[in-house]
Amino acid sequence: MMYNPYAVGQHVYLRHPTPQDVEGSWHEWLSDEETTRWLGMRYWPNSVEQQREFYENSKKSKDQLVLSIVDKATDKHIGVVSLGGINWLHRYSDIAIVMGEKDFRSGPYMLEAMSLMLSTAFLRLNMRIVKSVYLATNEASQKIHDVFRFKQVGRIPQLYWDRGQYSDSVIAILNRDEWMARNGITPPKD
Amino acid sequence: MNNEKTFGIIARIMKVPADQINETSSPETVPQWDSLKHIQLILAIEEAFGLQFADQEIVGIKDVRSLLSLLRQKTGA
Repeated sequence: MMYNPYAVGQHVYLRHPTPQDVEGSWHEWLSDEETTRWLGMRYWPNSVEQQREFYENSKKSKDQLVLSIVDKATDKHIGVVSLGGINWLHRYSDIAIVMGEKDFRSGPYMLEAMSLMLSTAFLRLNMRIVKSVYLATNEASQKIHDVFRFKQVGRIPQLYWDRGQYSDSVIAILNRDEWMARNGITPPKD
Repeated sequence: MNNEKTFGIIARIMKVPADQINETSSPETVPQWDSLKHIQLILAIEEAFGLQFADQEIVGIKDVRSLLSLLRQKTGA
């Protein structure tokens, strides 16, 4: 049974994080080297105290939307997807996703969570552009962005230190009108 | 027609002989079929057939059977 679902897919649903999520594995995901290799916070260990602080701050924020990804079959908290830096005037935000539970990295879970969050951004929150930044050496991230038709609009050379070498940072965007057209949704008249 | 072309693309992406791919193939039966190859497969199919999948269609691709079914809907073949 789903608890407090916010966006529902076939395999996963997104909901507001709970205190149980915070006290569970969430903070450990963000210390794990493999999980955090491609994330901005990958250099320092995380703790449950920091996770509680993040949770309390995110609860109050209207500049970011943090949602837990939950496996529908088991109701297990398997990851987190967020829209950060929401700009309500210009209507853009940055998407980020972490599949913390390694058993759920294959299969449809990440693609569905990403799809649900894009739909949330464009249809519920009236975002016009969703941005994303990732390391050029992160092939999986690049392919995920490609499959959802993000366009690369910029590249900062040699920005990030990753396992002994500097890596370029890629900036990609997804435009709402293009996303709507691809998904057979009629764009609104602004 | 779509089937043979699709099997060939899957075999190329998964790096397995084409005769090992059939309508019942899936990530459970093809060990090389991981999450990255799954996405590479979707992109290769889109390019080969000159089409784009909607988000819900992408999420619905789980195995060869669901992929072939989707291709039949999209191409009418």
